[in-house]
Amino acid sequence: VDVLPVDDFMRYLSKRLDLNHLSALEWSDLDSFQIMEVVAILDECGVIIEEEAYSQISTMHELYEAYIAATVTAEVGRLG
Amino acid sequence: MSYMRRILQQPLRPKSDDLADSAISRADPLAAAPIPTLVGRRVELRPVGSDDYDWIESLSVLPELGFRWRHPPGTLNPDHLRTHIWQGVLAQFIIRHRTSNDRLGMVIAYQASPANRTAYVAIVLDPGVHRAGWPLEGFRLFMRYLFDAFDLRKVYAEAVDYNLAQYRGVLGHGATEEGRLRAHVYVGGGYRDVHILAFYRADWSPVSLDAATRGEDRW
Repeated sequence: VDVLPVDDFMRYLSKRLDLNHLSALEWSDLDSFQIMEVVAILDECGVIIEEEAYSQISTMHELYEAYIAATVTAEVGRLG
Repeated sequence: MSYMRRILQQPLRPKSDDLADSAISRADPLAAAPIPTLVGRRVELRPVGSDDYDWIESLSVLPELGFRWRHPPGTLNPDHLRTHIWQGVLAQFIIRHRTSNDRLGMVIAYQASPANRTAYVAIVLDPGVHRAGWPLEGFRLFMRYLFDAFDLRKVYAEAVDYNLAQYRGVLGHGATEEGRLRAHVYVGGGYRDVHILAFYRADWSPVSLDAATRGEDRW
């Protein structure tokens, strides 16, 4: 399964959110509209994370893990 | 190469003029819709029904939402609720989760000025989904609905200073701050500033964007 390494993933979201100036992208730094944009960006990329999973996320690392899980699930679904 | 890697090479935040050609509009079924749609990927907007009023009342009395609700401080007479929540309203909808059918919140347009083609917008979310992000798709749907269903130039939102941080993500990206009413509201034992944010039609309406690309934009 082709997934972005964690650093590329964070860099990508930082650029899309215009938050390049931050040394590290932290989930707690994002307001609700920015989180909405994260959801829209990942949806746009075909990375569909379930709503319940988003509710459990409190760190960027947890978002990355959800991204990996959704990507793997989508790939398994595509192959299956 | 994955789609995400490919899209990484594309412009990351197009100007509104470029939005119709962007990866976002191509991938977003809403952006291609020529008419207002109330259905999104995860949520949809539905009219307020007679069985919603108890839920609305329960939201209005939550401590987390008390200062953000559109009625003045104090307790609201339940007998007056139905009349009160429609006062000055242009349109309002319940934000519903498409899968579970759960109510997530409300979007409200009020204080419309036909002469100036402006209105105010507000959103109330269940505190349980405040930080989830995805319920705000309902706000995006509503903004597009307002601009495409009504002859509005721009829509305002009011934010008390301690709420302004919630809008940080849209300031400069679909919203601009156009005014500040200093020491305008009495909250928590002191007078607080109220910020006036403006959302412009060209940034939110796929219909007007389509018209703009054809040289038909009259706004």
